[in-house]
Amino acid sequence: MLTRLKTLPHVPRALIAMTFAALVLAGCSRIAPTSWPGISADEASVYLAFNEAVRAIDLIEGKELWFYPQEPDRAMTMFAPPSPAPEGQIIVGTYNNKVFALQGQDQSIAWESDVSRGRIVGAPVVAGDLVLVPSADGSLYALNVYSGSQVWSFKARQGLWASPAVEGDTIYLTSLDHHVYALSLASGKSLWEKDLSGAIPDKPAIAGDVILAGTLGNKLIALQKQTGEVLWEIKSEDWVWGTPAVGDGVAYYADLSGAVSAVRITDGDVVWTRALGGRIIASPLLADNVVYLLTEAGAVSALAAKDGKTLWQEKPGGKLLSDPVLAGKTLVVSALESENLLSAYDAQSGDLLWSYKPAEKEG
Amino acid sequence: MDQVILNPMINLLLVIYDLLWHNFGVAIIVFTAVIRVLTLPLTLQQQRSMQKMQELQKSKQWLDIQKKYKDDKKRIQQEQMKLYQEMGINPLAGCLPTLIQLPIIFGLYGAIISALAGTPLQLLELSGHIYSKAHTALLPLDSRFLWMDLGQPERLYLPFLPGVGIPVLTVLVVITTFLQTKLTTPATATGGQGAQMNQMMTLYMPLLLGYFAFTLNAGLALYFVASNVMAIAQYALARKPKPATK
Repeated sequence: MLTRLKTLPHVPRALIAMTFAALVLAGCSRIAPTSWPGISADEASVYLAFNEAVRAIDLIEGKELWFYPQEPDRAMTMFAPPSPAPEGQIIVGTYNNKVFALQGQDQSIAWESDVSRGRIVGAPVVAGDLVLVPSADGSLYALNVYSGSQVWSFKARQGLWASPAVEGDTIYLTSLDHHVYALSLASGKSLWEKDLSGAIPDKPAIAGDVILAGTLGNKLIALQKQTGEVLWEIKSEDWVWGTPAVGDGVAYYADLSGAVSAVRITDGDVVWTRALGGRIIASPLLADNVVYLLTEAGAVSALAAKDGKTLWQEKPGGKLLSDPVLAGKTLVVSALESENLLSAYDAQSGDLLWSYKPAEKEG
Repeated sequence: MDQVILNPMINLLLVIYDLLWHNFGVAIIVFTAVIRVLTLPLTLQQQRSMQKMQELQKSKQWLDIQKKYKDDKKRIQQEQMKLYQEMGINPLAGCLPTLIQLPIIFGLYGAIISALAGTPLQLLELSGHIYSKAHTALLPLDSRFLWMDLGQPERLYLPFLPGVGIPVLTVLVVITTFLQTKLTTPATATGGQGAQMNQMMTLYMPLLLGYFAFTLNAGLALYFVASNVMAIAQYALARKPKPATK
C-alpha cells in the first residue's frame, strides 16, 4: 500500500490533497444557524424568526398559526425579531440583506426591499409611516411602511446590529462603531453623536432625559438625551451586551460575567448587585417590580426589582441568548440548541404555560 | 486543535490588526505574508523535491526502465523505488510539506472566518478564543476594506450599473490561481498521465477557488489573492537565472 502511495506521481497526490482541502473548506462553510432566534409579540401572537422561517404562534395555547416560507429556502435565513406593523403586516429582515412586509393573513409579500448591502440583525422598528431598518452594512434605512420605498438613509462608521430607539421625533441609534447617534426622525440628519470607546451591540434604553447603553468596552454609560454628554459610567467585569431595563429611576443591567446590577439613573450609584452564575447576553426585562433575566446556560430567573432576591427560576433547556418578550402576563423565551424553540411562563408564578417545537419537516 | 493552531492564529491576526490602524484588509495580507514566511522552509523543501522528481522523470535511466518493462507495472514500480534510493530521493518529501501545511491552511481559513465574526453568535464564540482582555475591546473588527465588506461575498456596485454587482475579487482569484498553478506545477512529458493531471489542476483549482470566492466572504477571497500573488512572487524569486548560452 505504502509502495503504491509512494509511486503515485506528484500531481495526482497534490490533486488528492487539494480535493481533500476543498472538501473540508466546503464542509466548514455549511450553513448552520448563524445566530439565535429573534422573537416579538403583540396581544395575540408571538412572532419567531429563526433560520429559514418566520412563524406566528398563538399566545394563549402555543399553537403554530402560520409560517413563511412554505418551502424552506436555504438562500434566505432570518434571525432579527419580526416587527408587527399597521394593517396586520409583519416586517421581516433577513441575513440575506432583504427586508419584506408579510401579510399575516395569507402570508403573501406586500413589498420587498433590497436596499441593504448587509445582514439585518436588529429588529426593524415601525415609527409612524416609516420602518427603520438597521443594517450590518452600517446604514439605517428609513422605508415607507406601506410601500417599502426608501425615504432616507443614515450611514454610520461600522455595522448596526441594534434596533434604533425612537422617542418623539428623535431616533437614538447605537453602532458597532462605538458611537451613539441622535437623528432626526423626519430626515435622518445627525443631531449629535458620542464615541463610547466600545462597540454597542444592542439598542439604547431611554429613561427620562437619560440614554443608557451597554458596551463591549465593559461599561454601562449614561448620556444626556439632548446633547449626548456623558453623565456617568460604570465599569463592569465583562461585556455589557443587552439593553438595560429601566423603571422608577433605576436601571437594571447584566454582563457576560453573570453579574446583575441595579443602579440609580440619576447618579449611577449601585442599589444592589447579584451574581447569577453564567454569561448573560439577553436584555433584562422589567415588569410589575420584577426583573426577568436569562443566562446563556439556560436559566430563566425572576428577581425582585427592589433587592434582587430570586422569586422563581426555571430551566427550559438549551442556550438562552434571545431577548425575552412579555405579552400580558406571559413571559416568552426562546432557546438555541433546544428541542423547544419557545417556552411560555406565567410571569408571576413561573409556571410553564406551553412550549413550542416546530414540526420536523419545517425545522 | 483550536488551542494549537486556531487560537494562536486568531490572536496573531488581532495583534496585526491592532498594529495596522485597525484595517482588517491590510491585516489579512500581512498575516498571510507572516504565515508564508514561517512556512517558507516547507515550501522550499517541496520545490526542491519537485525539481528532483522532474529531473528523474527526464533521466535516461528512467526512460530506459519504462521502455524495458512497459508491460510490467509492478516491475516498473520496483525499479522506480530503486532509482529513488540511488538518487537519494524521498518520494514523500514532496507530499509531507503539503500535508503539514494543510492544518496551517485550515487554521488560517478558520482564523479569518472567526475573526470576521459577522453575526452576534460568531462574535460571542470569538470572545472565547482571545487571550488578552485588551483585544476583546477591539471587537468586532471593522470589516470594511476598499469597497468591500470582508464579512460578505464581494461585489462592486458601480453608479452607472444599478443593481449589478461585479465580483472583482472572484475574477482576481481565478486569474491568480490559474497563474500560480500553471507556474508551480511541474512540467511533465506531453500526453502522459502527469500532463493530464497538470491540465486538470490548472483548470480545476481556479474554478474551485473562484467558486469559494464568489459564495463565501470577501475576507477569504482576499486571502486567496494575497496568497497566490505571494506564491507567484516566491516562485519568481526562487528561480535561478540560467547562464546565457551561445
